[in-house]
Amino acid sequence: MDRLTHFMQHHHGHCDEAFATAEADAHRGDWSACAASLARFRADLLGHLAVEEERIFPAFEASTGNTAGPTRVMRAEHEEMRELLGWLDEALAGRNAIAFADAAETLLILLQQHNMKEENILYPMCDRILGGDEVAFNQLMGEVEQALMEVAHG
Amino acid sequence: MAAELSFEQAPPLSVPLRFFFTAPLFALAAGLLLALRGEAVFASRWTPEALAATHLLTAGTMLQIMLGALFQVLPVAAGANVAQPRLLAGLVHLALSAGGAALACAFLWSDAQFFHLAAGLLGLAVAALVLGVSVGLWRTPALGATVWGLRGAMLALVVTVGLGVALALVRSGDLGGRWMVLSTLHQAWGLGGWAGLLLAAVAWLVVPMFLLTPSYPTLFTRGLPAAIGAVLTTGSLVMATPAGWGGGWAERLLAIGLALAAAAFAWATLTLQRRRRRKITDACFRFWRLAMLALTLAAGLLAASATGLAPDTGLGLPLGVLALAGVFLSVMLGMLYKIVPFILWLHLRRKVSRPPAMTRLVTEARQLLHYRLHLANLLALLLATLWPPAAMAGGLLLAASGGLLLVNLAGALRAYLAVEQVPAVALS
Ligand SMILES: [Fe+2]
Repeated sequence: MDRLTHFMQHHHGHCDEAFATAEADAHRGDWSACAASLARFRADLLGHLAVEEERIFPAFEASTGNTAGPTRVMRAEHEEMRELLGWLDEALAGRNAIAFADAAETLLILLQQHNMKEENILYPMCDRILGGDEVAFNQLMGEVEQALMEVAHG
Repeated sequence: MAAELSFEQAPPLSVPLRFFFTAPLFALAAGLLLALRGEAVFASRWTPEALAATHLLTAGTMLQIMLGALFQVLPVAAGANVAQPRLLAGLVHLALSAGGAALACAFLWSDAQFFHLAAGLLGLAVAALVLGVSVGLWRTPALGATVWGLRGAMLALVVTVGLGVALALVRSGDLGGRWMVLSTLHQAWGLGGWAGLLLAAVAWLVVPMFLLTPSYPTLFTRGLPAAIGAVLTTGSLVMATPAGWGGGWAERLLAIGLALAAAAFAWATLTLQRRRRRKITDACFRFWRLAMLALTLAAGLLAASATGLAPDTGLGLPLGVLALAGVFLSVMLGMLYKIVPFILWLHLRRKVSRPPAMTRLVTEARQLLHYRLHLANLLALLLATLWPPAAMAGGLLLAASGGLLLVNLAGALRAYLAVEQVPAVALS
């Protein structure tokens, strides 16, 4: 049973793709392309964070009765990622390739170690714990898939 | 179980940093030894000088970096909490540092007392580490090939150090000379088992992570460590039979098995790197690529030494240089320059509202300089295996490399302290 892990892991890859495009655009100094690719990455990433905070984490917290554990750390790291998105915006506005590269590298490492913890630990726990209640789990996954699909097409 | 897991178990800054700052000192010492006694080091890998230099790099530099990284990564990546990290790291670090230095002295002076001291201290360091982390590592809720790789690596470390203690007792005269054949197993378990499995476990995580490549195939991440474990176990069992003892069969089996595993790993990694989505060629990527090229060459030499295509005289030295400096030092340098800024940044983030970017703590230019210095160092050491007078240059470059690592890490720490001490009000 790894439906949630599999789907969310796949969406991490989707966000990575958008990140790499924005980084490459800035590296080339193609700022108009970068504006578009950064907007896409922002939508993908924020959509991903929102789905976790609004659907997946509350379900996990309700099932385990633990709101001070892993999900609290994950939420704090999401906040840091949102801040770093702001650094990228500043660098784009100032057309500053060095500042963009600095912010991109910092965000990437933060994002990747965060994703690794989710993919190796938190998502499998969600699958195991939430998967027990099949009806509720199907409904949750339906909402998650719907929400991220809308981001991808929006 | 869910309640125990918090992800907040990243240890205090001093826990990993004490290991990372000690590692370059051992590289400096190894470099100076090579510069001063290079002809003896490169005469044969069995001279006291060669053994001292080898162990300064393995039990010194490499083990310091690997254990420092383990203390940092186990709780975060593997969900394996370490009880009392500060106390445990203090004990392990002290025993490891003193033990590493004692071991080098023991080889250089062929001194029984120093061999006893080194065996005791290094045995203590590893026993304390294993006792401290194994409960967490075996009970972690984390899944995946990395956790299994880490478990295998820890087991191999215990075997390696156990064999090393036995070999130290041979050198000190407590055990008969016939036990010296165990040195093949010591090398195989140390480089192929401990360092190799750890390298693989780290690669499964960080190669896709930093370069945005696809993941390694699951079959591969499960199969490769299992195959390495099977090769090491079979080789050791063959060695234990009367026919295998000294007959060369175990050596051949280990060499061919590990060469195949190394070649497969290098090939898989280079293939993934070619498919990377991130098109930035940074120093870390260069260090990894260099390591995989060195590993490919080392695998070829290892296979040649075993199949009898080349007589086993003389291949040991280039193999050692390729494995230690080419593969493991390359990866460790590349990784340190990612890990240390990241750790410092995480701690800074809690103290100031806007920390500098991680890349400002050790700049890309500094890392690239180190990459070039390290490459020159590797080439000089390889040349010295053919032409020993080059050992002087190889030694000086190794010492310089250790020095530059120390300077770069100190620079990152200075930048950290400078930001940390500014009151938050002044920044906002
Ligand atoms: Fe997340």
